[in-house]
Amino acid sequence: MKIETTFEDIVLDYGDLRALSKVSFSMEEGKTYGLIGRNGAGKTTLLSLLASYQRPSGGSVKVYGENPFENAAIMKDVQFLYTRNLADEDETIAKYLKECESFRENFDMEYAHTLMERFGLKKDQKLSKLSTGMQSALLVVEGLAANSPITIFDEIHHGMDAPSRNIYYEAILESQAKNPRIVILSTHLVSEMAYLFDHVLILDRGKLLIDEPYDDVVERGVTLTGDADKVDAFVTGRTVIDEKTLGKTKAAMLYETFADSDRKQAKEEGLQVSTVSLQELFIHLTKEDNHEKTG
Amino acid sequence: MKKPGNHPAFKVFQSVYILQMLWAFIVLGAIVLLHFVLALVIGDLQWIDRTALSALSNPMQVYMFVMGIIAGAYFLKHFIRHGVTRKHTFAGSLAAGFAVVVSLQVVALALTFLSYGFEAITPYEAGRETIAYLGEERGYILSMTINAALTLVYYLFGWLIGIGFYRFKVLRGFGFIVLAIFAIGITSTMWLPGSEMNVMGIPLHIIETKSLWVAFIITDTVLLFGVVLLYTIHRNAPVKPN
Repeated sequence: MKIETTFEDIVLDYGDLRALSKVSFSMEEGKTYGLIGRNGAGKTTLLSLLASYQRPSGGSVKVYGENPFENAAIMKDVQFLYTRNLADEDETIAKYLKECESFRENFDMEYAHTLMERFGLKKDQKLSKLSTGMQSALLVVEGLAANSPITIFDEIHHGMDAPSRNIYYEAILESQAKNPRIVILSTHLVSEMAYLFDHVLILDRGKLLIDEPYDDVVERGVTLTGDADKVDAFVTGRTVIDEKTLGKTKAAMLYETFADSDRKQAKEEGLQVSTVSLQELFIHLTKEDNHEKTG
Repeated sequence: MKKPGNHPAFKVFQSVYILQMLWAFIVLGAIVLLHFVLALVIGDLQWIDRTALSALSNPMQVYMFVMGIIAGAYFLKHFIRHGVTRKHTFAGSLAAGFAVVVSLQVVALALTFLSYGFEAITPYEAGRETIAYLGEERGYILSMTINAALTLVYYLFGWLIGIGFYRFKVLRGFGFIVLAIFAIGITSTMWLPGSEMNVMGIPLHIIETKSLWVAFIITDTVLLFGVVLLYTIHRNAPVKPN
C-alpha cells in the first residue's frame, strides 16, 4: 500500500502554551522532507504526533487514512530516531540491533552491518563506550536498516564529524533510492543537508511558514543588488525579507515568485539578480519582523 | 492472522521476561551465596533456618518491587520507540511480571529440594522453617500461591510508583508512594497471624486476622485495582522523546 500522511489543522497545547497552531500539510512516499525551524519552533512536538508519542489537542493526523495513535498496524511502520544518551546502556551494538530487528519486520541486518562498517562501528562495542558521534551513527544504522515506511531523523547528527555526516547523507540517498519511503529530516544543518530535501517544511513558533517543494522554495528567493534608489523603486510592493545598504549600494532579498519578465526588467535597470540559499531564506523568513509578511 | 510469536505484546513479554529473569538469577545467586557464607560464619541465624522458599520470599518481593519501578520508569518509552502500542507494552510487561513471579517461586521450590538433597550427601543442614500464613503452615503449593500473589502486589505497586513519577512528575508521584505503602500494607497484613501491619518489615498498624478466603479476596482485589489503575495511566500516556 502506498503510504500517505496528512496533518490537518493540528493544534497542540501544553497547558497555556500553544506549541502547534493549525498546522496542515501532507507527505507522500518516495520523498525526503526537510523540517526546519528555530529552537522551540515545535519540530520535535510535530514529529512526536506522527510517531504516536502523544495526541494532538485539536485537528487530525492520518497515516494510510487512519489515526496512528495506538494503532499497532501504523506504529510499527513509523521509526522515530532522536538523540538519546546511551551512556547508561550496558549492552553491545549487536544486542541492541538484534532487539531492533525483533520489533521491525523489514529490518535488514546485512545492510545494518554494511552501514556499521562504513561508520567504523564494531558489533561487540558496548553502547556505554560509544562517543556521542558514534551513538548518532548507530541511530542512523538503526533508522535506515529498519526500512520503515516512515523514517524520522530528528537532529540525530549530534557529535558526528564531517566524514560521518557525509556517510549519513549518502546512505539516506542510497536507501531512499533502493527502498522509497517517507523520510523526514529535522535539522539545523540547513546548508549542509538542503540537497537531500525534495520538499521543505519551515516551522516557526508553532506555525507552518513554508510547505513547498525544495526547488520552488529556493526559486522564490532572490537578491537584487544595485543602486539603492533603483533597488527601492523595484522592490516597492514586493515581499522584502532582508535589506543591506553600503553607501549607495543596496541589496534586497525578496521572497516571491520571480518571473522571467521581472528578471529581464531588473537587468535592464542595471540590477544584479542572484539566487538565495535555503539557509539564508530560513534565517530571514523566521525573523520576528518578517512574520507578518510571510505568515 | 499473526503467529503468537510475532505479536508485539509477546515480543514485549519475551524481552521483559528474559531481562528480569537474568537479573533475578544474579540477585538470587548472590543471596544463595550469602546464605552459605552466613551459614558457615554465624550458623544460628533465623533466616538460615528457613526453607529456600521461605527465605527467598522477602528478597523476591523487594526485587520485584524494584523491577516494577524500572518497568514504570522505562518500558513505555522504550517500547514505543520500537513502534509498540501502549496497550501491547502494558499487556506484555504485565504478563512478563506475572511469569517472572511464578518462575521465581518454582526456582525457590527447586532450591528447597536441592538443599534437602545437599543435606543428604554433605554435612550441610537445610533450613526447615516456613512462613506461617494466617498462623498456619500451608504446604508448598498454597505457600507458593500466596507468595506469588504478594510478590505481584510489590511488582504492580512498584510499577505504579515508576509510571506515576514518569507521567505525573515529583509531587503527584509521591502520591503513588503513599498508595503503594497502603496497598502493600493491607495485603501483607491480610496474611499475618496476629494483629500487626507489616510494610517492608516495618510494623505500622493493627488489624484483626481473617480467613484464608477473605485474605485471598482482599489480595486479589488490591491486585485488580493495581492492574486497572496501571492500565488507565498507560492507555493514553504521552511519551516525551528524550
